[in-house]
Amino acid sequence: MSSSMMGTTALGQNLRAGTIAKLGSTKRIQELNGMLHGNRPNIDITRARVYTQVYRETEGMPNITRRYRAAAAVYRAMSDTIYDHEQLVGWPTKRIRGASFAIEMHAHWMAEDLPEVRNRVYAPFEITDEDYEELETDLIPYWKNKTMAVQWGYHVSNYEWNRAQFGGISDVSNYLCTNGSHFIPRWTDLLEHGFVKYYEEAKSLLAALDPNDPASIDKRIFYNGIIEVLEGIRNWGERLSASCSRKAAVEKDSVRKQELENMADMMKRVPWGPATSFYDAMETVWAACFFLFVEGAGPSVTWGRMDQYLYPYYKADIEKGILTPEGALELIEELYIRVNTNEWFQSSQMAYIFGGYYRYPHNDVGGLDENGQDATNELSYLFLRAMRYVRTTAPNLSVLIHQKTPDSLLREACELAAEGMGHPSFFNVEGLYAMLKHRAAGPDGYSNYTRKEIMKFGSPIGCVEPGVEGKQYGHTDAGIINVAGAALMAVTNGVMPIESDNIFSGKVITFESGVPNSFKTFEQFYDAVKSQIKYAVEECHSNLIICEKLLAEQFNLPTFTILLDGALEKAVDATAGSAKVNIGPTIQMVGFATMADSVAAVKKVVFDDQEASLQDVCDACMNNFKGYEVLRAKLIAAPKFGNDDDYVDTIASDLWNWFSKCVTKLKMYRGNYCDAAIQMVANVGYGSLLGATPDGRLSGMPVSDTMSASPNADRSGPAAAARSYSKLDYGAYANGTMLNMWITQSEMVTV
Amino acid sequence: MADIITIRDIPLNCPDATYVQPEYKEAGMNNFTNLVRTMLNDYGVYHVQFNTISKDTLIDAKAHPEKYPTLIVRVAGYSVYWTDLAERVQDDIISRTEHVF
Repeated sequence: MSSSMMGTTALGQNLRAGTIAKLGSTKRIQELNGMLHGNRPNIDITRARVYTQVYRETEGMPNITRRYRAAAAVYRAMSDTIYDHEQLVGWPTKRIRGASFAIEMHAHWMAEDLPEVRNRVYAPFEITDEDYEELETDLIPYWKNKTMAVQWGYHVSNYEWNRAQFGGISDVSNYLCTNGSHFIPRWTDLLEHGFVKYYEEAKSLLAALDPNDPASIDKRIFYNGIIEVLEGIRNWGERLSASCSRKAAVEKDSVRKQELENMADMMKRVPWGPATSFYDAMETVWAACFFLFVEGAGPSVTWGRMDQYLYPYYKADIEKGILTPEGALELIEELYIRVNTNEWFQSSQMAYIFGGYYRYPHNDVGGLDENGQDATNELSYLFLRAMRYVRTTAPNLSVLIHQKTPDSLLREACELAAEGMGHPSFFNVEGLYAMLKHRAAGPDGYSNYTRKEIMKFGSPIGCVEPGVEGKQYGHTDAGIINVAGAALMAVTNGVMPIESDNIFSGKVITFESGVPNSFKTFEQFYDAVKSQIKYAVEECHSNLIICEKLLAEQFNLPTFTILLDGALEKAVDATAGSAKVNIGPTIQMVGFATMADSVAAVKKVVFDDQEASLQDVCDACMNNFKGYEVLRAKLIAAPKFGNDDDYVDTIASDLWNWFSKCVTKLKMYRGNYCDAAIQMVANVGYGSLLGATPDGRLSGMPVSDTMSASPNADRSGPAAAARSYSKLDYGAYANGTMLNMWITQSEMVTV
Repeated sequence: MADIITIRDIPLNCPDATYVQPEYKEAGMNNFTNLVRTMLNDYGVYHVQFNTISKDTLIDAKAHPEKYPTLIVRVAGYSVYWTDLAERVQDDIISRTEHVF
């Protein structure tokens, strides 16, 4: 393989495999960081093999039994390897940086992409020849016609199935393989009691069933399955403890021998039982996090308010004199290194669109406590500081800012931001509360959360999506509407321009909302834009509810269910709606500023200045502005979002609200309402599928990123950009909003 | 609000650490913290995150990835190694507006 074929992905990994990435506050951490980077992303077929075996053995049995039995068997099959230097125990896969992918979600595309997965330019994975053969000849053939995506195809036409995955306007492709994600387990309760609490609870609920009650039939199946899964988790802890003991027995170094014996003892306590120390608690949050990454297929299982629920353990250990801030820092750094093992395995098309191997928990610091007081503590600072030392891509670290946030915490966070890694995210606590208050409750409704629950447990998940620890379940990273495309469709009467790299080029990809010359006023055109947005949202929704039904009926998630408050009492799986607040799947927009700039450009050039007709703009977009260079220059000169200019900002704000209105009136499969969001990277991928747009953007170029201004359109300084962003109603986006800004490093530090 | 003693008051003792703290420009850091406070607390923006690596560095990193194996940037809601990104994603990040105070 030539170096050019390997791409930069392989190059960066080669270089990081040496000593360059051995970063950390102690020698131990430097070695562990080196070990992480010494491993390449690799495919681990353990989970796929176990699921296939269990499904073959259980044909004809209730679906819940099959799913739960497979999940339990995975715990019994998980690696028990203990590596040098580590203090935390257990890995999700046989090798570090393994992808224990969910074959029942992925098999349909794997059949096609497997031959290139080792050598593809973006996100290549290693796999042994034996495992490759088993996948190719046995595991993929078993599953490739059973995945959720294939079954969804039975409900829609082939045209609709393709359009929703490859058309790039109303899209569900990011959602199809990511069952089980964006979830905050009930960490506080798990740390306090351990999994044993849920085991005893399931046993007593099973014993209390009345066999003459028809409802007991499904409940018995449920509890027996949950008990089997929990026995799998107990077995995992016992095996890992034994593995630590075996390693201790042959260890020559007396210090390391003692560490290994301590680890063996710890694994007898947690995660099965209550955490008795900060060290125990760190093991529980590590183990349960990767359990969910193995069982689920999505990109983010979340830690939430980690500085809050870990603080009692930290404080007690400091007071007892058995922990120092430096010792806690070292454990935090090890945790940060370990979570980078969860590689996201995705199709070649998705790897091309997204790039990188991201799959990460989100942890945040700061914020308010349940009484509205500043919640900052010593751990808040340590979680931020650890990232400076260890320099990892995961987790997604954030800080919750409010009026009472101490200046010193904000300064600590800004010093981390000045390092240039993109860490941390900054969140406005009041905005988070406003979103959670109306989470999944429709345009005028209120969520089931109490105010205290929001204040104590409210936290962002994944990228930016508001969640509540242990009380919320549902997919937050689901349907995607390319609103820049919807604005273009209002100009082209629903046709994707020929000059575009799209399998629907030259064809109607949404619906015919009117030929350009039929719009006599801006208001008529504007109505067409709105109807195109509405159409795309509703098409997306119609696909999502089918998929959710399939997930609820066939793709259940027992460990998620165990870690959801109240789900065991209800005897209902998380996928089937046992959360206190069910949410999603949500619908998000991509290309917000491109949409606003496009509509403003049409208003300015066509309707206000009358320098061209809408037909001219349509022809220009259809031809990727070839022969329309003068018109393009006029469109580019029109006002752009991000400069505190009301000409375009009022359009942006109004369409922002319109999108939310279209989304939040829709009911989802589990009875909740849909929520709107802006959160994605996919501006590059969706831009590549889209023809030229009326803001002057050329065909195939990225659409605007997240809710940020178009590239280089915000030319009036950061304060003017901030004022444009201040004109939007954040409460209308209960699934979160994301904003990227770029402040050059030399402003803050000497470089 | 009770005062808490943090690592900013009592420096950590990490003799083996690889990290070297940069020299901060106080005026710029003040502008930065004020921008965050204003956007979130006064303007009501829900979330913001920052890329801070200079555009010149990113352009150089695209041309000479071998010099930047550990360069991490923010893409959407996550951080990623520069060298793991698709070229078109690199171009998109480079094309964004680099603000100064």
